[in-house]
Amino acid sequence: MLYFQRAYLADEALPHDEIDDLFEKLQPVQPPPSLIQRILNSVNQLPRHPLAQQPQSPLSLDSGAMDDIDGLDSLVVRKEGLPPS
Amino acid sequence: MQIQHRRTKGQVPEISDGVLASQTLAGDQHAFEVLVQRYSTPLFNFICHFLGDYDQACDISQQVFLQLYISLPTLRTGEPLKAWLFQVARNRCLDELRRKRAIHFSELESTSDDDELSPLAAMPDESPLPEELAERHDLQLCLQRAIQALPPKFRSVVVLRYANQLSFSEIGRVLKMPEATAKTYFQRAKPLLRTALASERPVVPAC
Repeated sequence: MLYFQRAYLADEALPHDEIDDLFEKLQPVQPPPSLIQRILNSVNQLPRHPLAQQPQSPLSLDSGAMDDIDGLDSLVVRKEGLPPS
Repeated sequence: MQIQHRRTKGQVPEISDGVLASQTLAGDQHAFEVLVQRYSTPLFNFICHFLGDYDQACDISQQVFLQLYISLPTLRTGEPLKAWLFQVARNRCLDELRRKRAIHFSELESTSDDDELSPLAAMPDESPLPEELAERHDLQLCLQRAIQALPPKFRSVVVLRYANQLSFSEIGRVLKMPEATAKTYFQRAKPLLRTALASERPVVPAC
């Protein structure tokens, strides 16, 4: 049986009691081994994100790099007749 | 350009949620798989302990990650996804409780042995248990029933605390409440847990 560490309680200013002792014995429930694949299979049935459908160069891993990708323009509906803002 | 890594104790630095989200948006399905592997077990634990239903936990876990995939373009990639995922999971659980509310009352008068609601009941048990294992199994059922006896707002805090081992600060972020409120809910849940446990395990005195 796995018993959780009590470290997560150490820095909390709450008194420790017998209820905490009992619930420290609460076992984690393991998901079925097939759950991850089931999730991925269902996600694979969804349409790809618009950005993923565009042929593009390898991405940098900077979270701000998304703004530099020309593919984002495809998400913007252009109204050519309007004056520039 | 920086690669955002998150270092876990004793392990090589792992790629942050934000980077994985960005990679997923760019078409890297393996990146999304990493996110699923990272959060599927803790989310499943939360959902399973919250609802007390193993099969429902599978379904709702799947829904949460579908929601994640759909919502990726709108999420802020600079922050961990943990709080958002648990929020969605909690909301889905509440939806499920509301849906079952009309049915639940009729089931209250069924057999007092609620094993069919227990996640442990879904585990195959084909051999006789030694006495010690049987006692431990019984304890898990008691703890699960005590959790199920809590009103939803207390149940969220208790499950995040005991099953997911979140700090009250993290619980507050997940449930979008002040840390002090999370502590208050937790403390208010204790007498209810004590009462529920005392009805099954006389060694724990009721308040």
